[in-house]
Amino acid sequence: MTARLALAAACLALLAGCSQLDGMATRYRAERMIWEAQRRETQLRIGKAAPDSATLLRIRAEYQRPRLAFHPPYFQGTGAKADGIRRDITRQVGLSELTASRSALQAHRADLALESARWVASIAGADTSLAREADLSSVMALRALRRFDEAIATMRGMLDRYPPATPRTPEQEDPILNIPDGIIELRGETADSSMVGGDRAYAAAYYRKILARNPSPFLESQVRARLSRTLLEMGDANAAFAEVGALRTLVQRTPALRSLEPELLYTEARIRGMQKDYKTALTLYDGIVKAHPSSPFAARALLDAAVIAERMGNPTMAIARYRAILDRPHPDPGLAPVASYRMAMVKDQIGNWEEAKTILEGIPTQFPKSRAGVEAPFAIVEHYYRTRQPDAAKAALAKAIDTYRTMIRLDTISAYATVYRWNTLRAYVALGRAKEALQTVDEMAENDRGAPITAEALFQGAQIALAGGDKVKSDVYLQQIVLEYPNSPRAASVRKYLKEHAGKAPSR
Amino acid sequence: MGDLRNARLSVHEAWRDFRWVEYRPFAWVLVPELLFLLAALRLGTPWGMAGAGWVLGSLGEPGLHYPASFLLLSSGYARFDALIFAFLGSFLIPLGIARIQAPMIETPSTGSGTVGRARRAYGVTLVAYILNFVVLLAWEFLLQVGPSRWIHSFFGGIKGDILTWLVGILVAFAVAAVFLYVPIRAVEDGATFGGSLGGGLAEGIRKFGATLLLMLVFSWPALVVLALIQIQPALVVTRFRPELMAVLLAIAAVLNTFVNYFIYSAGSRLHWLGQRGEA
Repeated sequence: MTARLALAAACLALLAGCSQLDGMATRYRAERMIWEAQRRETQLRIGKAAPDSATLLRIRAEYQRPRLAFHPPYFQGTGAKADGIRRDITRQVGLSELTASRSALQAHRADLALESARWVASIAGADTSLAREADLSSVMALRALRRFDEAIATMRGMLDRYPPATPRTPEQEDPILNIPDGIIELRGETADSSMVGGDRAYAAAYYRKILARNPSPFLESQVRARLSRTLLEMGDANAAFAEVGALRTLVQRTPALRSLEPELLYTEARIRGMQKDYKTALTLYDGIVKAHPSSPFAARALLDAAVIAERMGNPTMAIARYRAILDRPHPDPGLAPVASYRMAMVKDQIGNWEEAKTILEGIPTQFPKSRAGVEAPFAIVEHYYRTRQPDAAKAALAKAIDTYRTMIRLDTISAYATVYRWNTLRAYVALGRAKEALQTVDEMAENDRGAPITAEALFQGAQIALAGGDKVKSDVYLQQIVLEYPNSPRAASVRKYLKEHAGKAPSR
Repeated sequence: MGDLRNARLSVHEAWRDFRWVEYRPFAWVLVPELLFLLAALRLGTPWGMAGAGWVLGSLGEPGLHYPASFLLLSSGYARFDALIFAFLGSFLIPLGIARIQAPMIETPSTGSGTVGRARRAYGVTLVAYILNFVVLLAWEFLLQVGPSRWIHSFFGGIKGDILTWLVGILVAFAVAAVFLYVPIRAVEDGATFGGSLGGGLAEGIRKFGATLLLMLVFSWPALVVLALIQIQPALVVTRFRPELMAVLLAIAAVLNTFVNYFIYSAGSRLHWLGQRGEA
């Protein structure tokens, strides 16, 4: 009896061992396939600084092989160890598919990228890290498809699904905490600034929800800092001040949080600035630059101090601070374009137009993915209109069109491409070049489908076409607004107009 | 001076008098080594994982993943090789030596007498091998904490790596030279455990220069292959193909069997010449 039991136990152990061996071997094959894909990618990219779409889709196909070759449950066998190996294989296959998704996105096939990302999300199961990465890839694809509302809904879903991890050090921060700012940024990029306020309120509510769960001191400090910043951006100085007070108490209680001092000082200075106590605000900002020169808040302090100097009517002080931002060893990519633009504006105000013009002309190439890069060419046009130089204004408009076209060529999938096209349309309209303006409207209808500003472009196109006597084209644009942008501010009046004029003129 | 002349003569004779029957026991050691490398090449199959996974897994979890398994293959192979040499080599090497010595003492190269001498030498050869292994481990540790740091402080990058490797190899050969005569003495008629171990070590120390010379003469082809595997494994894995590591190790293993054969053949001749000189 004992011998039989021992034999059965030995057989079971052998079987368990075999299933694990099978699992380990399967995982090894998956890893080898991914390595082969990486090797193939390197070969395909050789000699191509910017690979074409066909190459990128071939790279995608290489990374899709594991998805096609390995299917859950991958191998026979049960037990904790077998499940662990299965999770490993899923992660490998999922990460490979997400790489395929990124390649598809670069190849301007956001539809394929989205399919891959959603497939990974469907297999991720309990692997939160993989699911998060899949969701982030979905957001990127939806952004490229101009399905901004879906992208934002996905990001909000992520906030519900993935609670932030407790950091081990004050410097370590869960990237999920960046999502609320990401939503606000995305809304800003789509030029739908009217909804940014709602997104800020959503962000503040999210931060408060985390604080209500009694997080660890490190997480609490990160969330309170973000909440105070969001409240400030919402204009609620008193609530922001209360959060800064709570954060200061927390920092005093927790020695490991001393590194938050510059952020605390910065937030306090901003609140003083909002309360129009400029003198105190300037003192606090200067204190941050002096005491914490390498902190990222030093650059922010310089920018805010420069804005205050402008408000106080001291252009020399403002220019010195803007210059200091640009002269930093590694200028902040978010702040440097703003500093450049504002410095040009101040120089224009004090009568130094040539220098201002040189700065403005350099901004789109130096900072192509920035609001300042979008606005700078038009700032030059506006100067000439203001100083009653119509010929110079026309020349500046023509130059602005060239600049925007170049920017679009450099990065066709950038979220800023929509705004570049919109400004190109504005420039053509101002120059009275109806044909090119309508071509730009068509480009926007094709490339920027779904962006709120496209509805406005279609409306402008309808008016230009009508003014040129082409009522058919005008109606086509208007019907596009009704069909594709039913929630746009123009939709109701357009619907009414089309109803009133139905049958009076030919329409599609 | 006489030892060096004898060493040169032994090297020459060993090279000239290569006999398949004498080499064969060294080739048998190769069988499990090549099977191990084949399994390591096929870790994507359950039998490959069963065959090599247990050794590579002992080096840590990365040993079971691609392509890290090939980065660690050299270390894994060294562990497996050590085991094979300890338990299988402790019989097969004395058997090879007994066959090499057979013509010198005018007995048949094969047969129960030769096998019997090899069987008697098993214990002392195993002990000598373990002692050699322990000394080498200690040297590996000392190399990392001492000479490696000093060398790298003078020569950075690849130059430092090559010099450290050369120093490591040279000392490892010096240790092996001291232990070389233990199995050679152990297969002789009337050999005792203590006499073989003590006498072998004493002879190794006495003929140190000549023995080291003959070892270096025969080892350099295998060392060239080993240098590539041991100094720059990441280069082979990332720039070429990870699987190339297994192929290079197989080449090194085959070369090593010949190197071992020639070293023991020349060592036996040097020992015999020494004995005749004393007589």
